[in-house]
Amino acid sequence: MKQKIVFPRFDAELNTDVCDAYNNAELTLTVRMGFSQINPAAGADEGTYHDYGNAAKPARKIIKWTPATWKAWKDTFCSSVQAYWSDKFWLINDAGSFLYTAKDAQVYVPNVWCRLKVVGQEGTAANNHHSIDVVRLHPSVKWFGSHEHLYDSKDINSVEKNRDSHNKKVMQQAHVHEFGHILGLGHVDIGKAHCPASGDTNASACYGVSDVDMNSVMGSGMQLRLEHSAPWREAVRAFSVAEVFSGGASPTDLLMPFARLLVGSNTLFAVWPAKMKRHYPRTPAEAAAGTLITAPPKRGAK
Amino acid sequence: MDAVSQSICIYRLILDDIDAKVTMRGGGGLTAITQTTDDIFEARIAQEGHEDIRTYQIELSESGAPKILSVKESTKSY
Repeated sequence: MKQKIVFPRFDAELNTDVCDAYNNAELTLTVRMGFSQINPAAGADEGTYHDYGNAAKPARKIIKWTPATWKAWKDTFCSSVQAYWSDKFWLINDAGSFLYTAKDAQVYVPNVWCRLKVVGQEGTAANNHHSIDVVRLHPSVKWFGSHEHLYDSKDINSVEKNRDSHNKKVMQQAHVHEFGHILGLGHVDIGKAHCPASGDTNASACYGVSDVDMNSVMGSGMQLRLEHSAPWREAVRAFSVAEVFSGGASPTDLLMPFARLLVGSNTLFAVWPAKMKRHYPRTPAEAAAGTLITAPPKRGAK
Repeated sequence: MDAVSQSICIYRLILDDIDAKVTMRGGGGLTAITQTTDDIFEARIAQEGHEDIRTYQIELSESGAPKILSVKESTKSY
């Protein structure tokens, strides 16, 4: 079964049709990105544009987009963001949700594989989840002041963002970090004393003070962490709760209510812990025992 | 010390402090140091999505040698 829930930041689709003795349910978040060009004024080939789009800030040299460079930039943005964020997390099903019977007549508790689809479309499309304007920087320009709705052509490049305690460069691709915000993630140090949630969480200290935090993708680096699975966990909880209120995943299967009891969990208080390694579906007994299966298990027929 | 020499001293003091204290070395770098009142100077460092602002209170002694009394950090988001 494929189910869809629309969230403000993304659409979420849970696909249990792919479930069998070895394969988990797939949870795909789809983000529709709207892209608009910013070109030099009056059709010129070259011009300037101010940092942050603010006339009081330095003006940087920009050049006109061509159809080929525009398409290439958008394609690279979407494919690199998707490659970075998709297929990295598995959520362990501690809710006893989405039970199914495989061809071996065994009931399974699927985990959830976290996937991402980034769809690039025109900035004027009405159904964009997030829209950005993009300037194309002149080759001589090394940096431009971007923000969440204003990017530059070099924001997809890896650049030095910070220095750690050993004076080692901490590199980051800005668009990958920004996409974390689009998914709803905040900066790595929000909530710590030097970055109170009540203050401006864009302060540099919020990007990580310790080397470990600094290297997080929601800091100044490129490292993905378990906590970055939060958008998928938010979505899967919604599907899990919806399943309870809709009366179960499969009313035709009388084993399901009993199997859910065997798992011994509570949908409303389930944590859905994240892992960064594939975890295979479990039988209700395995789930109830807290067994985690990371190697292909010996099962009956798929 | 004449006024221009004194200003140069103040700006050097601020630049040295930024070089020693600021670890977020990427971004657009230092874009402005502006005197906002007699003894207050504001330094702005451009970063993606925001500027880091360091506000310096400077003490001028009788000899004219400047000294940093305090530094406040703030952020301007865009």
